[in-house]
Amino acid sequence: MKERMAPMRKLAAAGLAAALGIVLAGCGSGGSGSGSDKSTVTLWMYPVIGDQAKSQAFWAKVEKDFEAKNTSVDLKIDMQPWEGRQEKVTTALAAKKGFDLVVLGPDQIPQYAQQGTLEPVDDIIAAEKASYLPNSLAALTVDGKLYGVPVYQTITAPIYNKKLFADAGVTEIPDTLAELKEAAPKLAANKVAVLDYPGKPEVSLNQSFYPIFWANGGSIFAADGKTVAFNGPEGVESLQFLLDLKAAGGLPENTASKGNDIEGGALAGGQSAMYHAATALQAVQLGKVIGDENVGIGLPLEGRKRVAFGIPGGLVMAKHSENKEAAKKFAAYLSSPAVAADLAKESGFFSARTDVTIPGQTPAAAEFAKSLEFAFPGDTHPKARQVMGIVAAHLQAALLGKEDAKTALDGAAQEANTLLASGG
Amino acid sequence: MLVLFLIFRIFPSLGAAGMSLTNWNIGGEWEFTGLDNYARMLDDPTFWISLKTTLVYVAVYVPMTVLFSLGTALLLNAVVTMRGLWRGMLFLPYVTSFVLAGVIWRWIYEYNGLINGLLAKLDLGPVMFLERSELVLPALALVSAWKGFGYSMLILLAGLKAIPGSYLEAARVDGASAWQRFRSIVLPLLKPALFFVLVIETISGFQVFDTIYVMTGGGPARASYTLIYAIYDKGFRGFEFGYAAAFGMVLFAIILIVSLIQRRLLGRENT
Repeated sequence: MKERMAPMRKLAAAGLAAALGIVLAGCGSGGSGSGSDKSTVTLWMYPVIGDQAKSQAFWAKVEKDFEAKNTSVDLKIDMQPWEGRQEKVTTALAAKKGFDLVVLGPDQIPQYAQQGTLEPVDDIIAAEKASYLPNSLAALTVDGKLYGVPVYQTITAPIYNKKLFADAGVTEIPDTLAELKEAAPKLAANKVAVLDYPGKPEVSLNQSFYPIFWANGGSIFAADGKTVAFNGPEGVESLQFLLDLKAAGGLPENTASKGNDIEGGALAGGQSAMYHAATALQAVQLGKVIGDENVGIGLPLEGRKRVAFGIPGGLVMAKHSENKEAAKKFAAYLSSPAVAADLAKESGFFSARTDVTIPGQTPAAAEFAKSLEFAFPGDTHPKARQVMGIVAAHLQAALLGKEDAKTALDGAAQEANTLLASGG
Repeated sequence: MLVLFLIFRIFPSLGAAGMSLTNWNIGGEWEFTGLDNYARMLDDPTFWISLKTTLVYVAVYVPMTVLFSLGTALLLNAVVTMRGLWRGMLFLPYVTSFVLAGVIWRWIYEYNGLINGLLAKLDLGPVMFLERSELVLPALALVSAWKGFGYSMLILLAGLKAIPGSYLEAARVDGASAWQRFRSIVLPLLKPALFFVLVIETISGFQVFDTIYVMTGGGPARASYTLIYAIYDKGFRGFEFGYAAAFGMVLFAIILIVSLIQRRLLGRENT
């Protein structure tokens, strides 16, 4: 059967490339040896360090230092854009080319692990397992196996424009979902939307709808993972909350199609007052436009509980890697305390290790760090991303007034359950 | 040439047809599932949405592009000075990156964008071009038409140049108006070029992806969720490559049928 499948697989792979009509990008560099005695390891890295010059300097130093200590390894760090990450990683794994190591989030890993394209990495951190945040490791574990070495930890928190709240006479910045709703009409009177909600389908729901839904105690999937649960009372309550805000002038006019870019966005333009799931980088960007003194950073908005979306960046190894031992050496190096501390400092993220002290942390970063205790990596499930796409389309319909909260979520649930049942 | 055609066209098409009968995943594992993907597709509301959206898009895009191309070709044909410059300027959008065009047009259409800025000066608007289901497809079609009309314009211009000037001159002497000359002489003689343009623009309409990917992501609420976008969504987001290939085969069949019909019409006109 195996022998019979081989040519068919090749045919199928060729068919995939052409039939889907998608430009296959980023597969230029192979992960195998380059003809010399050195083992080549290719890392696909993303701009976790926002400043391009700092990013280049940091990764050049990492490459140089690692190669100096491991003379038999030729490390290639290939900087990739965030845009199209999933498509490129999928294509690379399907083609068994492109990278040996790549950084992925916990909601992306299960689907690849389930399809047998990733290599477990338990042995890399085995000796230092106790030094990692348990939540970080749990988030990167699928079926009892660790598939990502946590190299950093992110966190999101509300950021707001203090002046807009003050101008509207709101002296206490909303700390709960109920207070946010209460403040909406007061800011709307000044033509300011209280919440800069990004309803564009491309924006991850982890930074839009889900944090509100989680705060209300919701869970995307049923406990057995075979069906979805987001259309329960918590989901309807959360979506209705957004629709009520919209009716009260609490969301931007174009909320259904707007993204969450700070530069050029409503928050920077003074048309909306708060974004509930911002990153530290976005706080910095907002400060550059409205002045650091006007930027407030709060704790995750409380519903029944406080939940902040925060994920470990998992350094993942491709099963097709031909230099696994060398790749493991690099994964261990990048996650070592000294390098992890430098990465956290430069990126503004946090370390996924408890034995790391980040030098020179900014006051804004310290404020964000307060939300780490509420960090939640999202509902990890092999179909999490696909389900998110379905939910996003129906949320958008509700925000456009085409469907009510219950109808939108029931419609999404029906589609999502069909997807889960298909087993595809 | 034949080898290239086999490698890049025929084999992938056969591969996709085969893949549509499997549950192929990115790890290379697969099982033969027969017509399951097609049966599931017929029950899938997103398939019917994508099919309807594609047909509506083509119905808007093709006439828009053909009229746009014909209009500019006629203008260029009438221009006597700096022809090369005008031709180059009108052809410029065609060589612009689709992604770049999408980003620029998104800004033009946005709530705080160029058009709404101008409308605000007239105390009108704002118009949510990319948020209103009834506006999004015409808005996207306009972007694609702007981006793609240059190629068709050149083909039509070549067709216009091939019409002997003596025919038009004779008609003018006989007292035919500009409209009568266009309708009775230019249009009939331009038909082969027009049909060719119609074929390539129809195929191009069915294959729209870049504009939607950059500008709407299939939204709002799937109002621009076309078949090609569905293939991308099912394959690269859903990892259901077999299922995505089934969508691809439907698109393949539609384009094949439309092209055969048009070819038959074109063939008839040429005889």
